[in-house]
Amino acid sequence: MKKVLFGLMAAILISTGCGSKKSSGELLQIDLTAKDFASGQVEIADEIESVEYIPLELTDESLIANILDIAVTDEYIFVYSTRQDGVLQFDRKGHFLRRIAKTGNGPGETGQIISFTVDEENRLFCVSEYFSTSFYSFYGEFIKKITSLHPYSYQLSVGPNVMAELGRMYVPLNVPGMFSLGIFNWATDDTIALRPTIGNINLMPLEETSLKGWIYNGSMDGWFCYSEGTDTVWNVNAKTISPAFLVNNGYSASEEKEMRSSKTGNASVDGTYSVFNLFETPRFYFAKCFQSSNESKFFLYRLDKQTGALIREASDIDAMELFKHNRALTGIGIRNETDGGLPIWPFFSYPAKKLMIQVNTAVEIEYLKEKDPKLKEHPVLQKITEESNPLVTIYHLR
Amino acid sequence: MIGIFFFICLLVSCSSGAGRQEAIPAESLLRQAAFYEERLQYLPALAMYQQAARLAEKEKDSVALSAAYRRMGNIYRNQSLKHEALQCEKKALSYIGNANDSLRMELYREIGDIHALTGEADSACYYYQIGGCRISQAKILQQGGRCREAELLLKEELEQDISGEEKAELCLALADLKISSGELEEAEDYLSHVPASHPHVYASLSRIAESRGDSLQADFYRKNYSHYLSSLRQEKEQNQIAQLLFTSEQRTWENRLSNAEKTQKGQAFLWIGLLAVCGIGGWGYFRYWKKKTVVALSETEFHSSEVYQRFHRKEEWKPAPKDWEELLQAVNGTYPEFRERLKRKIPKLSEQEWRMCCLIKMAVPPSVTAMLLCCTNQAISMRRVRLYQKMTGEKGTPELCDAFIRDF
Repeated sequence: MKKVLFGLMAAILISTGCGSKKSSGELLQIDLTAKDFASGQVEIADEIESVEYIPLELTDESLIANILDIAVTDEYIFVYSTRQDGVLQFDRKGHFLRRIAKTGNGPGETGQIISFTVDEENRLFCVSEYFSTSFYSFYGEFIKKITSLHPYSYQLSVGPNVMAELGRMYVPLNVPGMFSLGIFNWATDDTIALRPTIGNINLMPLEETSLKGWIYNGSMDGWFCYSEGTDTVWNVNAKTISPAFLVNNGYSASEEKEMRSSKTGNASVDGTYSVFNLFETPRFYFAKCFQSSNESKFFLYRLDKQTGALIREASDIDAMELFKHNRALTGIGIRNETDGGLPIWPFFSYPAKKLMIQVNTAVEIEYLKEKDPKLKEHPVLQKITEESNPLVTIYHLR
Repeated sequence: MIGIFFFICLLVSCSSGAGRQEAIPAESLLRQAAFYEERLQYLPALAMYQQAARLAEKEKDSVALSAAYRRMGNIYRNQSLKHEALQCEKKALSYIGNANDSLRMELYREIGDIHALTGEADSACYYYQIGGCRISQAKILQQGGRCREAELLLKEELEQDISGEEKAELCLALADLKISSGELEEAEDYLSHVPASHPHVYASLSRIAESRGDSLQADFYRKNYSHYLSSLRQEKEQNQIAQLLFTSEQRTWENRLSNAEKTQKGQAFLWIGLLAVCGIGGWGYFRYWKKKTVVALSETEFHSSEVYQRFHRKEEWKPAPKDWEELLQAVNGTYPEFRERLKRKIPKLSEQEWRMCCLIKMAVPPSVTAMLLCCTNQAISMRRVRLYQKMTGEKGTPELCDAFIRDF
């Protein structure tokens, strides 16, 4: 009986000790500075039902270097790559179809593509530049260009004719018209919701505070948006902007000040953790982080939405080395126990659609094969050579 | 009994009156739907076109029916829904009478476009052929490697009795065909039949220069082409606005006049007075429009001038005082009194600020402006913010300053 009681008490202690603390009401928190964890291995296999591999066709026109942005619909894959003019469109089997939004001054041509998104309901492909959005059909036909004075960095579709906009980075928050997060109807020019500021604004005057790099990914009903140096991950959907969960990156007030100051650049602060990427599945939140004092060393975190249990795993891949092969550092990911393929870390996750999209460059795959010789036996990865185009992997979630 | 009879009459008249008020004609629904379509609000637009089609069917209004289906076809095309688009276009085709040949041809062209977009070359060719679109047909043939057939088709059409504009388009298409097959001299020969004012001439000339490996010349032609395109677009937008204003004014007048006829003759004087006022207004608008057109024309000339091109060059160069003088004269010539009005706003306008204003007015990118004025991008941003404050007395952004000067 004593042993049973002792076991029960130990279990309670472990579960409370390792679980992330709930603060600010009911919000969960990923505590990057935590010392104790429920386990030392982050897993995702239970969440994945099947894996689909899509090698992107390599033609004279569709040569891809590093992928800057990607969007996947039921029928198409859109890719924006370095050293390429415009957006490349592939079908879902990876066949190259056409190039959209080429560079130029003519109708339907673009200057500097910032991001793109798909308005699924209207079936429109939307390409964002600073102060304008161009709309194309999936046949690549240019339809319309709408100009807007909103100072955004990224536009993400959250409903028919509705965009979530992430405020311009490195611009002081007191600049007229400046905002942090907004939801706008681009057809009617209505503002649905607006958050002028995010994070602690009492650290310094607004004219010295700015938004730093944005990290975003699909959520259950919209997009998660996180600005570096703040403590909250926001969920932006077609109607509201609300806090989703918290991140404790261990900044002191002075470090946070330095991190968010419009006077400092993009430098990270020593001794603390920085979020590199995050995504959501129906059961968990995942985060990929690095210690600012050692940018080669990455950690993966998994937070259980139900229990709040936090797990951390240290990656044995050198980020600096991997960076040469893929700037998105996809290779630093969760062990793939579904089909023994590449480590899992999606470029974008769409938990509502039960999809996750991952992109690995060919040189990165070669590098990973050298690190883990088992990958050489994988039937899809066997066919990838250094000259291949990136491999798109789609994980279908349960 | 009489009371009940009167009550029933009153009820009937009221209800029928209300019914008349609620009934929305198909034309209004089409207009509302077009409004949504223009703003790319495809979901409400489709619902409204469908409603208009149902109403038009009830009223047996074949014109409204075909218009509704045609617009739905266009939305489905933009949504890349081929089957739905074709279905609607074909329905629109079935509702137009035999009399409306031009509309029939346009529908054939649109159906051809849908097939071309989805890579169905044979169907596209067929519809382009019956729609009389020889150039589109030739392009499809060319894409399928049937260049000889395409050339014959275009040459055959060129021999027909057609307008000068159509001939120019055919010559351009033939020139493009020749450029693709590497016969550059023949391409130049065809281009010589196209008026120099045709903007696409520059695109073809650029392709020829590129094929000859003369990238500098190709770049020059490409820049000219872009300028022509943007000025053409501006002109088109202006015409559309003028047309819209004209149509809406005309409609209003038609309604007013028909109402006036129905009312007492005594009000005729009032209407005449109103007509005169509107006439003066229209005359005033015409004068304003004419003035605007003149400005737009001189702007177009300015945009294609050598000095304009020189100051848009991205390569590293430093303008000499002579260059600045030339530019300032050109700006003064294009936008008369620009400097005087600016001076009135900012009496202490420095020479450097005046130069920057000119560069903003002619839409030179800030990075190029920084290079021309020998300072950093940040300095240019700060100067624009300061200038905006001087002009308006308010704190603003560099973009606000640009917008202010461009509209000034």
